[in-house]
Amino acid sequence: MSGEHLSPVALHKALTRIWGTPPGLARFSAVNHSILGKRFMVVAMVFFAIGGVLAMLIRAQLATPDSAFIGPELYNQIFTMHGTVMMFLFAIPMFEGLAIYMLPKMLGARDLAFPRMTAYGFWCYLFGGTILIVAMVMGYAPNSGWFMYTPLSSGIYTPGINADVWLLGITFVEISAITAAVELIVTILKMRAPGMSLTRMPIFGWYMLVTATMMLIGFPPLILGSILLEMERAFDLPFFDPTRGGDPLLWQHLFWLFGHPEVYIIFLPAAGMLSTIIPTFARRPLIAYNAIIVAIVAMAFLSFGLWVHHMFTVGIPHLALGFFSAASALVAIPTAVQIFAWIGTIASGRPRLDVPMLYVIGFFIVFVCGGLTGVMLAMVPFNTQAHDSYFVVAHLHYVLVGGFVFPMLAALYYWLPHFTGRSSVYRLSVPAFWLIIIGFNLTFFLMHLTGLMGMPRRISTYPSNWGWDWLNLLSSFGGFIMTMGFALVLVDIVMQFRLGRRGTRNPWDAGTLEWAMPTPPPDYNFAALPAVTQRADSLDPGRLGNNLAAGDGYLGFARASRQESLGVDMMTGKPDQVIVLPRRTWLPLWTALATAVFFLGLLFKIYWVVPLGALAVVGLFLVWPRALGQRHDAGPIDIGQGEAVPVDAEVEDNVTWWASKIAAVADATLYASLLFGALYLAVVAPGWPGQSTETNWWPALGLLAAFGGSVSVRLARSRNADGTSPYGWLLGTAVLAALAAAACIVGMVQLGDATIHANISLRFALYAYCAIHAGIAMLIAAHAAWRWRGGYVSAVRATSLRLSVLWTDYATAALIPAWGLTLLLARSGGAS
Amino acid sequence: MIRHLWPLLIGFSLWAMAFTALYTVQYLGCYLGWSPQAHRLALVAGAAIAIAVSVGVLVVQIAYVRRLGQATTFMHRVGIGATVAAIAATIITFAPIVLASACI
Amino acid sequence: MSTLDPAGPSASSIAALWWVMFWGALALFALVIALLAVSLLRPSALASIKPGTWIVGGGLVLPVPILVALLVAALLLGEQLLPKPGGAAPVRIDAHASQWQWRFSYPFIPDAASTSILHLPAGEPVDVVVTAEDVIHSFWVPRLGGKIDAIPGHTNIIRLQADKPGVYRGICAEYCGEGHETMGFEVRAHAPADYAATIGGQP
Ligand code: HEM
Ligand SMILES: [Cu+2]
Ligand SMILES: [Cu+2]
Repeated sequence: MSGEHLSPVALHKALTRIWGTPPGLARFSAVNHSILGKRFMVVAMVFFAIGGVLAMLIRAQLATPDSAFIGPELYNQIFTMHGTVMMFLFAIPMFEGLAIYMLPKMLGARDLAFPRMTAYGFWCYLFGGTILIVAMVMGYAPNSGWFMYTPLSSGIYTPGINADVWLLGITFVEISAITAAVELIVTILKMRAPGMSLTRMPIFGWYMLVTATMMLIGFPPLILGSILLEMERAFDLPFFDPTRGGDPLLWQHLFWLFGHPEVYIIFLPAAGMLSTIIPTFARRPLIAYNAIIVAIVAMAFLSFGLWVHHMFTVGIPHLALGFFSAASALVAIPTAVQIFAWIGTIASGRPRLDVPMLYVIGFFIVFVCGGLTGVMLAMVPFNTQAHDSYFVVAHLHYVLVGGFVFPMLAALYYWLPHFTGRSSVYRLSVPAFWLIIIGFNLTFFLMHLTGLMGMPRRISTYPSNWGWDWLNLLSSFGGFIMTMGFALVLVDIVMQFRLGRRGTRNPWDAGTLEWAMPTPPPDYNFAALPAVTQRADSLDPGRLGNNLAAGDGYLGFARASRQESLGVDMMTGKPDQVIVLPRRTWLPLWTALATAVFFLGLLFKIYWVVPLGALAVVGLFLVWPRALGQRHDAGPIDIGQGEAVPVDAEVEDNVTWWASKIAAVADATLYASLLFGALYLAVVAPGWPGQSTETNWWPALGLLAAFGGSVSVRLARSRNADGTSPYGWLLGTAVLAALAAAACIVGMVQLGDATIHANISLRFALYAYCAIHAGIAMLIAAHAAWRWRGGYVSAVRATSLRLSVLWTDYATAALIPAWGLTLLLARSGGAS
Repeated sequence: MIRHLWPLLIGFSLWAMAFTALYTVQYLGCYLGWSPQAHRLALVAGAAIAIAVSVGVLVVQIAYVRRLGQATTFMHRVGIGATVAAIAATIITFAPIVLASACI
Repeated sequence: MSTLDPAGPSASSIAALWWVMFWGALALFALVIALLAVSLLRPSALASIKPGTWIVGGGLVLPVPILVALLVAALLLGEQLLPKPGGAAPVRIDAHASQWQWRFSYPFIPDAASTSILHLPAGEPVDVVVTAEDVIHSFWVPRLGGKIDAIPGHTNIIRLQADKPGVYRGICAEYCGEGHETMGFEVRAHAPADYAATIGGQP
């Protein structure tokens, strides 16, 4: 085991035996972050190509006035799919893929915290995306625009399956965003190299920490909105129907509460890559590390306070618009801080030009322009003219292409040698760059003017007498030039794989840890984990890499066929546990397939398979922990360098516990959005108070039972801590939680016809949420009892019990506002 | 997590809370038909409280760093920057209260 | 059709705001790109600038005053454009949107029929009261002023004025389904003397 000293080659073989994924069918069971990160990126690029082809169809249609190439019916599907594909299936998964691939390597870990979750997220992304594309090919693509405004997307005005494809497909894909967010946060906080305190973390880690947190809080409002809209479409619950106490504006609030942070979620990882690439080419460390951290935190917060700038024309009072307008203008400041930190880094270094740097320059030109038009759009009076015109189309492409596609291309060229293990040959890279930047500006710069000349977005044709003809023709022409550029980039990448010279390590002389390993990287990343003693963006990966490959560092051995990595104290980076990671398994694929059954059942309205799918998902998830855990207390074990720490199952502060707490935050955000929706409708929506109803006492009973569960689970925990059996109390908790769930369900039934008025359907949704969470509490308590029976739980190995406490308390806490709103809504309904 | 990261998060968390509260007061004032003077007074008072509280937090943060001297962590120093930025954001975001129409 | 060819006070002041912002943005853009170019080509020229100076100078001193001034100006302008009650209350015309047409009616003139062309008195402000029948639409006459959404269940008001008699184009700016692009309308501004007769006389 740890005592014997293996040669680097023998160590490599031993570790590969443990961490490797064999070729062939077994690839489908891969959970390794390098494999999955690359898969995410490749699939995202395929979607980018699909989105690009759709863009070309749009530009072909709009090239000339009165064009009869595509009719409005098809055109509407095409622009909706273009926006949807680019935002949800390209941009987000693309940076997720890069982060999944890169973060453990930059932070000095052997994998992410939850490898199977990475795989599950990938399959959800692939299947959800496929649903959308297949629907498009069959002619049933969503056609209500990428922000799906109701009532247009409601059952009355979009009776077909099109809108359901969007709502369900995108929600399916968003599972991968949530799982990625949770595991990126946990990995960044807990799985860094020993000695890498938060202060020493490479700046990309900070960017991704902030991004992942924003995803955690930004996506739930969209997921909730999609669930509510799907419930309206499928079961006629009138959340957004103004004739029955709903309000179309509620959808807009929920959507943009997600939608605006979303664009910063896309921009920040790209900015993180720039902050990594620019110092390498400036040949000096990034300046103003602390100021950048403040700037990205400021951006993260501010970006949640400006969603209404997408709603300046819906008739909100001027004062409220003033708040949002000011907050929108303010985000320019942290952006400027970063821009000048980058320029300052270049100016105070010894800059060197190379292809990645070319795209960085492209970024500056395009993104600064987009930022400036963004400030213009933040001004309410100007916005009322430019909103929903081609000016906005121009602006959004300047920020998205400038702030994401250009940095991604820089990152692609920068890290390509890492993926391929080959140095770069540049035959086509430079001409491709020029085609893209010239084509891009030709296409989109003119659109500012087209918009100011009164051309609204989302129209499939226009008459020829309004002076838009030549602008559109040139835009289309530019679009095709840009497409040629992208095609050249693709060819160029293929050439790199074929023609690059093998065996150059760290070609750019970078100072970050991902280069302290052979390229392409081995399955285990580092044969030994490095000890970090300075900021981890100015290391010497060449020297470090050789030492690590020789096993000189932490965990520089292969132990008991276990996949081991280190967990550290969040702040100081002192090792505090050995994290035993699960090995490859088919479970993620099966679980994702079961999830697909659930979503397809909803989509095709075959409602009897829906609960079957849900049950299969739950059942499979309960099987996941079986591969992990241990039946005895091992105490601290050797991690090399003369240190010993316990295994993660034996510490309180382990990644499972962290992930649960973080998942609870996302869940609570979803619930908060629902509560916000209920209050919003009660105050703002037309047609209230609406139907009067009796006060429903069932949720109060549910609350009582759940509270009993919270008490009982605490007794279980303290018995376990004393070394006595928690079994009885755990079963008691499960029973009480089941009673709580049952009470909520009876409450739902008691409401009667929930389609009559939003007043009732809101309570229906609240009780359903509580029923589901009481059900979860029940399952987790029962599962903990089962784990205890299996011998996986002891006074030290108590994670199962801690989780049970957390989720039982969560169910109890959820019932409190549900009950409060029951009283409020019943009163606003006129009866008592 | 919060135990260690609070210096970085507190300033803007206060901003976010103030934002939610003032947006709600703006809405409720119109919904319940408050007199324009009372409505504006409530908003101005809310903004003033928000600014006062965050300045108070800043003072505490600075005192903390002073007292600990060399021993202060990176997080506390960065946190002071974040709180200053948040105070500036609070002032600018709520400045429209002094002149914009609350209910049209 | 163009917002840059304004024909009323609202559109004119927004166009003026645009031109100010345009020249300002151009100057800022040139400044940033020039700094970038110098830093890449002649880094020694800027090497003596300290990190703090970059951040404070570029991130705070440069943008903050500009943004604050712009916000104040935009807020004051926004106040001016609001359909405030009081004063000489302007006439109110109802604009009702449905898939895919606009109907305009004139409740201040008894018995006036509703029309598919929007008739305005020239030279005086008008409040257009915008509502929707089915889905969301948006009322936009680019040469006269900004747009306002027509949302089912809500009533929105926008104040516009056409300075001179003439014909203007209006369009639906919010995507509303298959007929979205066909949902344009004509706006005719009449000399006040002819106005009542026109509406009264329109079938
Ligand atoms: C490859 C070059 C691209 C071209 C030529 C292009 C072209 C267009 C055009 C002409 C529209 C307006 C459609 C309409 O309003 O009728 C549009 C909309 C849009 N584009 Fe792109 N685009 C490109 C790349 C991208 C990228 C990279 C993204 C995002 C990362 C993106 C995101 C969007 C979004 C979100 C919309 C709005 C869709 C909607 O209105 O529902 N586009 N694009
Ligand atoms: Cu936005
Ligand atoms: Cu329309």
